[in-house]
Amino acid sequence: MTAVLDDYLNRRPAAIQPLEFPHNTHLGKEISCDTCHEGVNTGPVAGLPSVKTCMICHESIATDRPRIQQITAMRDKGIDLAWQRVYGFSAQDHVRFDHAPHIRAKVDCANCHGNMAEQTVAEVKVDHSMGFCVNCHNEKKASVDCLTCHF
Amino acid sequence: MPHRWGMAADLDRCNGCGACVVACAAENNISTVGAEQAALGRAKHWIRVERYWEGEFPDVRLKFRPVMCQQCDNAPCEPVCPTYASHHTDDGLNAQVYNRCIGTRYCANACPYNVRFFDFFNPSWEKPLQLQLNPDVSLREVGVMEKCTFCVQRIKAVTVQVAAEDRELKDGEITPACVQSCAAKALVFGDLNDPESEVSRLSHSPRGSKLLEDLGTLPKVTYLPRDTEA
Repeated sequence: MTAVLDDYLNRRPAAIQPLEFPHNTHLGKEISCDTCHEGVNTGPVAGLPSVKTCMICHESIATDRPRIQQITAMRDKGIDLAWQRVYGFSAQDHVRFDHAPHIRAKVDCANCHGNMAEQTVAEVKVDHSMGFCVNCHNEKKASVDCLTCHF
Repeated sequence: MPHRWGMAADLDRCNGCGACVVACAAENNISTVGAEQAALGRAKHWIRVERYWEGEFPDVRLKFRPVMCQQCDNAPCEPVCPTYASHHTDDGLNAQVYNRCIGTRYCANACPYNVRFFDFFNPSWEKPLQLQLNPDVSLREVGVMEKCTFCVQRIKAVTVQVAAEDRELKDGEITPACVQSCAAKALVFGDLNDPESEVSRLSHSPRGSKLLEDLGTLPKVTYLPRDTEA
């Protein structure tokens, strides 16, 4: 049933990640989101970290863990991590979302992505339906003209 | 004060090269209708260059006029749309919202400028042309109306950047694809609410006229024809 509903509502299938990345562990160390999701402050999309980004810290941190040794080996072989996007709109939605103005408007990441400190692998915790977007736009007196997002 | 986007076309400069048509198709993911449909008289160009021959042979003169959506202030396409897919935005754009469009085609019938195009088919590109699609622009599926947007994706990108840098928008900073590609600089785009902008100056020129002005559609595109008959 849910598969039929997902199809009807244009929801994308759940992402399958190359690595069981523990968001909670990293956020517990008070690392901010944009450390790894680069470009989110300045552009439309939040970057997905390359294995080189991981190695900035993990060259010296927690090098004894098997998963870290796994990514170190990947880096050495020149293989990158094939992350899949968890959130996103389907082409038929004609939505042009830009992260940067939302972050400038001081919308907390957790508003739309749930509390990542409670998630290991990222999951869809918030339903990005149009009603969800428009509610917040109305509250913050942001434009609700169709052309704000749909073009 | 909100912006009010407008365009001016200096017909004395336009040499009919058609770069605007090509740039527009590339920027806005406009699919071609194909040889079969073209033979039936269909075409899909958000901007076209009209040709007018004047005089008798051999004393003839060729005139060009680039025609795109005139982004009318009193747009005939808007009140006829039952779903508000065609509507007016605060900055004066005549918006077309593909999600809302149910394909009645009333707007294209109401438009006196013949600049609205209906997608009778899903768009397709011969390989490898699908690789050059612009990710910032929607692909319009079968059953919706499409038309010139004044490159709203570029307007949005620049206005967002301007807001991020907390400064005023500079005149000429936003260039729709047709304006950017115009080698003769015949097309000028800008804010009509800014009295200092190039497009404001040109649209108040005594040479200026609007297309089918007497219909009362209040277009925001001004044409500046050749003022002398040489």
